[in-house]
Amino acid sequence: MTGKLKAYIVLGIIALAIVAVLMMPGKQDSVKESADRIGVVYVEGVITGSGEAASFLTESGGANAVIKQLHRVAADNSVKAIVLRINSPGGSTAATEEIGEEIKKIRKNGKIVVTSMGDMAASGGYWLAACTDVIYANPSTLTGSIGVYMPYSNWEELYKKIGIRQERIKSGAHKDILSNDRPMTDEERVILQTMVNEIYENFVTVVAEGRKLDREQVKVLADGRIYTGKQAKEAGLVDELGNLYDAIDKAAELAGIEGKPQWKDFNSINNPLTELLSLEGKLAMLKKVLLEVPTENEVKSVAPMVLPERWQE
Amino acid sequence: MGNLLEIIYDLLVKPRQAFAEIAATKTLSDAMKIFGFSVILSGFGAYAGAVQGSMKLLVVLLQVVASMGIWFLSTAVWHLLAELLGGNGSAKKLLTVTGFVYFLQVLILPIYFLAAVLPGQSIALISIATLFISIWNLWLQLLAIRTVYGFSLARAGLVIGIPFLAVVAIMFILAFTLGSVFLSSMFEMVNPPQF
Repeated sequence: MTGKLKAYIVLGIIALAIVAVLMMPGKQDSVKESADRIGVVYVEGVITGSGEAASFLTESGGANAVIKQLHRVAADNSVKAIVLRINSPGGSTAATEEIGEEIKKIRKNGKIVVTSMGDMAASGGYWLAACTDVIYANPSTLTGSIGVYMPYSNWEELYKKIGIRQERIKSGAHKDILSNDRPMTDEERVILQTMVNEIYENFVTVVAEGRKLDREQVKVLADGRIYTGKQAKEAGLVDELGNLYDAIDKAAELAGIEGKPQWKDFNSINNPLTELLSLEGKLAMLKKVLLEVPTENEVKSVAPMVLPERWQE
Repeated sequence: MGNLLEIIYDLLVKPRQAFAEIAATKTLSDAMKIFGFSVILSGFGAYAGAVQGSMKLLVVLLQVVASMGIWFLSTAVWHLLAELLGGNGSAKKLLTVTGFVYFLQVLILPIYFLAAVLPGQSIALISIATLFISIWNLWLQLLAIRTVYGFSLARAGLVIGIPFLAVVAIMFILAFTLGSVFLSSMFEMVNPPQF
């Protein structure tokens, strides 16, 4: 083969590549920006009050992450209704209340919010559902668990065995309430029980108002037990049985969107693997590793409090 | 220019002969031309259709910069390993020869185009084409190392394989460490009221 022919063949390949680049159809977003649509917001995992997510590799259950999604969806004028996809066993009371208040604000501003329960929307997850207009659950969804508890462990005997004795200089009698190196006093028990009761009453109020049920009726249901989606529907805690797409259709119907509704996910952090593989995800992960994980660990770790003093340095 | 095109043709059809000629007669500047043209054209292809989202221009620019970084870094690592394995060759020569291999990126663009206009088969088509080009690329790199250092194919394979195994080991250690962090956070004690 002559040199000239070889050169023409390579030039042909290059020309073909250039034509391919020039004619390459750009992929379009699956949802047109101007169209009326449904925004899907995710509450995944344990609802916590700090950080973006429940933990480094779990999904976004942090109140901040959920509230960010809610703010974005509320500010998006093309979103006419919201579907809150809940897959959570509950979590911190304050964090749940915070998210619940945001949902109420969005409803007050005229946007419909429909809940779609995944595997589980129990306890705090149900609190959030009760703040929405309509609740969808799968027949086997685990929900309910309406109640409050405060965990407490007494490690006094263990500390004695390993030779650790903690001492505290405190400003008031109850400053070291819930200390795990001594038994709880009767007075402390009363204080904590009062708190738990108060939060429980708030929970009952949220459910009674959200579900338009009588408070006494709610209290009968709210003994902390879990219900299947089917049982919850029979008890009036859920409106319809159906999946995420049924909830989207219902949200579209309530918002007056005609035809097949378009919808958009608003979760900024979803699957950790997907995040690692995308550029924006890599930047977010890097930020998390460098800035947030050490801070979270400092704040949340309880273990150092029981270590000998010289190990804490 | 005509000679460069002929060399590229030989690279695709008779790579052993082409590498010998590149190593003997071509300069780093020639390799830069081929590398720059291939990576920038491939970047435009990605900009036009293969990348979505508001950050796509940044992604394309990063792709070009990262490709250059990878080219230099991989050549440096391979040269070091080749020297350690008893090879006798020049890093500049290896950089020149491997720079020509980047022309393979141009070949995938027509396939991307086909994938974009045939959405039904796009993922399968891109996967098969990418796999084919990757294997071809690996084969050419093996031949390049063999040519520059006078290695056997097995020894050249070792030069390419060792960094890969090192990366796998690092990933394994990283996954293990992250797993430990994840597990420890699961068993974290919390006292505030819970629902």
